Amino acid sequence: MADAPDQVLDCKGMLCPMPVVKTNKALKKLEVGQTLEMTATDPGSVPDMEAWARQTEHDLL
Amino acid sequence: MSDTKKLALISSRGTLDWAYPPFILASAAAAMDWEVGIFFTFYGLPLLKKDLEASVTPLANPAMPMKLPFGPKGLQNVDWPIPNVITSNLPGFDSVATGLMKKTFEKKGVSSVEQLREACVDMDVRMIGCQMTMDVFGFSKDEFIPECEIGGAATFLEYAADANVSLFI
Repeated sequence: MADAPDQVLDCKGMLCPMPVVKTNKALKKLEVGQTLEMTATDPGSVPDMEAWARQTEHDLL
Repeated sequence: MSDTKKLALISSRGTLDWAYPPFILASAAAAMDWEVGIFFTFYGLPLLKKDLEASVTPLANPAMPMKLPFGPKGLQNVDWPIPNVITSNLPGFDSVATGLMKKTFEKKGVSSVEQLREACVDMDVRMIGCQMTMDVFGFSKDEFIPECEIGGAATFLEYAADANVSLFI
């Protein structure tokens, strides 16, 4: 399942909470089944995104 | 569909270092589709002003790292010990400290308090200003952002009664 993502979001250089905030905002504009690719440099965003995915019941790929 | 989690925050402090925690927690929770409400009271109330003027002081703040956000790498890592006699007697020191803190945060990629507050407004975070504090310190509602409500302790307590997470900042 190596399709290109439907949207790409650049969160490089941003620190907490912006990666999660921007991801949620961008995802609201997508439809069920679509993929968002987000890149970040903040190491804290790894556990943050995992927590966000659990809380919002989205799949983290 | 699972029940929406709810976050209730009280923001009682208004210096720059204390302005970040409520807006960061609120925006992170809102980004996870939680319902969020912040009650601004006492010195936290000015955080609702259209023109945010939060500043910070190193005086009596021994935990605050005093590192320069510019200069050679080695110099930036130095935590300068500044005795209270300097912070309390040098006029304008607080402005310097505030400016340096803002510059540090900007360099590291942390959003400003204004941007975080705007993100909260965008995500429908409920912001309640304390009526009592407004009366005591003489604020008028048109100094504040239009999105805020005004209420008292009972308003906040009713909101927080079924909150999953309640924090006093």
